Amino acid sequence: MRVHQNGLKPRGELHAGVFRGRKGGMSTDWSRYATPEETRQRATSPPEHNGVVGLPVGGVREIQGLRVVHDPKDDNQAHTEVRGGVARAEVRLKLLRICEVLIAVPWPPEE
Amino acid sequence: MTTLGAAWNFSPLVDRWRERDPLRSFEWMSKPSLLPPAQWSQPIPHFVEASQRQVARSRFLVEIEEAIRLSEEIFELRDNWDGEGAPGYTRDTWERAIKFVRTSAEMVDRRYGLSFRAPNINPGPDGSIDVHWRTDDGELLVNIPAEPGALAEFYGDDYGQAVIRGKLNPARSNHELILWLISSQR
Repeated sequence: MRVHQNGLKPRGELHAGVFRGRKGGMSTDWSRYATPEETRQRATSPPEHNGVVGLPVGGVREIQGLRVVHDPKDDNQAHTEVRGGVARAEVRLKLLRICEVLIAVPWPPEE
Repeated sequence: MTTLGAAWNFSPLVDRWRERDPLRSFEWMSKPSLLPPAQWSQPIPHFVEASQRQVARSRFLVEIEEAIRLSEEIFELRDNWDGEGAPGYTRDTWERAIKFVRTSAEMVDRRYGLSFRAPNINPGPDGSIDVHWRTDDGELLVNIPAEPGALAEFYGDDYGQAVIRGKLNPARSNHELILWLISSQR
């Protein structure tokens, strides 16, 4: 999952707020079909402004209410959504605990 | 509405509070004749402890204000700050978040003479703001929503079975939640 450097404000540390859903799900890439660098390159902002964190599927499914759904797109076979209420405080705190930094988020952002 | 996921024993907190009651210190100091002559020139333990506690409380409130000052950077995040359509953050939401933090800090300081670690105040999802406390013995995340008047959601645990979760009005004092936070700090 990509993490934009602006999302690490104000301290430059990963925090629970980096986990955010869009249209009901949180977009990620399945590592079977994409490398961390490929995930970073898919950013619509400059890729060098983003880092990538990994989430173990088993750990995500252990969090109450979450589902991991492979949802391939025409231009992204790896696209996978985490669904089931990602915005909840409990969920985001637990995702933060199990995530792993795969590509460090550049910090601090260039002015 | 606040719900507790586990029963919590606050009696150790109350004991600490009573032990440190400044009136007890005063009583001690007002009866110097009770001290053996050999100790007349020694620092009065309760007085020293009360002074140290006052310093710690002052430092605690300074750290809270520093965390608030740092969080002002959240305003730099305007709409589409991630290039993928994320909404920006409003001063109104931020002010509700810092009011919650300040109210909590002043409440534990004045009412209980206690303190807690300064939280991290971070950008949350959908324009909301997270107030996040993390200690070696527990974590608490309070999410202040972007919608004015909406209740804040919170979740905390001790990395184990003891859990606290629910919703609260961030404009009011939330004694149970803050005492839970303090009890999770050893």
